[in-house]
Amino acid sequence: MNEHEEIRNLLSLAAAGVLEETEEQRVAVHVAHCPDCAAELEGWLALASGLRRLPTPQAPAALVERVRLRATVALAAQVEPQWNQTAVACAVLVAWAVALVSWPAVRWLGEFFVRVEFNWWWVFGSASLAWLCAGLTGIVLAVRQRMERRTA
Amino acid sequence: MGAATATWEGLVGLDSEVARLRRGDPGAFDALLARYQNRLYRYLQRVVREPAVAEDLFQQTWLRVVQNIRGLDPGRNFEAWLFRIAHNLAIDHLRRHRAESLDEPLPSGETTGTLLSSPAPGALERLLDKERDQLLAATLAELPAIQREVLTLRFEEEMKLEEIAEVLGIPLSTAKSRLKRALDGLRLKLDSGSGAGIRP
Repeated sequence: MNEHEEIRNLLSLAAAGVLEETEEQRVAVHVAHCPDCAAELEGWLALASGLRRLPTPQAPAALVERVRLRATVALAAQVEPQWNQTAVACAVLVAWAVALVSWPAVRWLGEFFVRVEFNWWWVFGSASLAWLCAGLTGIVLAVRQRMERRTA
Repeated sequence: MGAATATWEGLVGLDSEVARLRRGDPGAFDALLARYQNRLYRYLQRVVREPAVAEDLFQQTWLRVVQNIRGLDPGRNFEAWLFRIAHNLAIDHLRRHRAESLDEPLPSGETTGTLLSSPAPGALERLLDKERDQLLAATLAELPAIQREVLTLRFEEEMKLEEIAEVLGIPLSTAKSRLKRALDGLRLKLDSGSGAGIRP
């Protein structure tokens, strides 16, 4: 392949603006002295220009709105599990705090009213109650989330 | 200078929107949707050609963006990533519906050729810009999907060769040769139709 053919082979990519710098220089030098290649390049440039100004189909407004709504629901669904985890963690902490406070509180109140015998059954019972509350909270949140996903 | 500033501000705005979307901000999604809605829709319509399919893929693309935005490497180009998702969905669709081959030209209808090769005297003079655009769009639509795709990415989306390679998931040299084949194919179709094609 001689220089002329090589350059001619590069003209379409030159019009597309994707040649490397050295290739671009070779094309420019050759085209300046070769009327055939200059005319050919003109044709490619016209084609490239035509492709750049093709009419752009607009995304229908109803489609864009539909996408926006679905994305908003999907984003909320992503954020909600994090919120749920935080809620469950808080419920567990509150339940434990209540349980811890209740032991001395009941003993103290027992001094004045009814004497309550403190033992490990009391600790086990209150701790189980705390975990039960946290578990129920988690189940309720999960059910609610599932129902919201179905209705979305 | 003004254009450069606008571009820089646009990029900073884009980074900020992507970061906000990563945190689950619906406002950031709206901003990104507004920024890319027409470009993405145009790209999908050029590749799959059917508006109903383009709409379906448009929705799927954006939902995948929402699902996967947290996995996006912060250093990665959002635009290339967005079009890569759309590319994968479009290629999957075209593979499932083999009526159109990805690699071979479609059996072309008569419309473009007939219009372009009109023997009426002064036909070339009557080709106004708008008509030429329509003819070019019709000829472009006759090319194989992968050639239409590379042409729209380069000339309509104005992506650099590196970005095109990233969107298509192919080496740079392959992107370059694919672009050349697409241009040659388009020119051949135009020239065989009219002898004048889109030339000035």
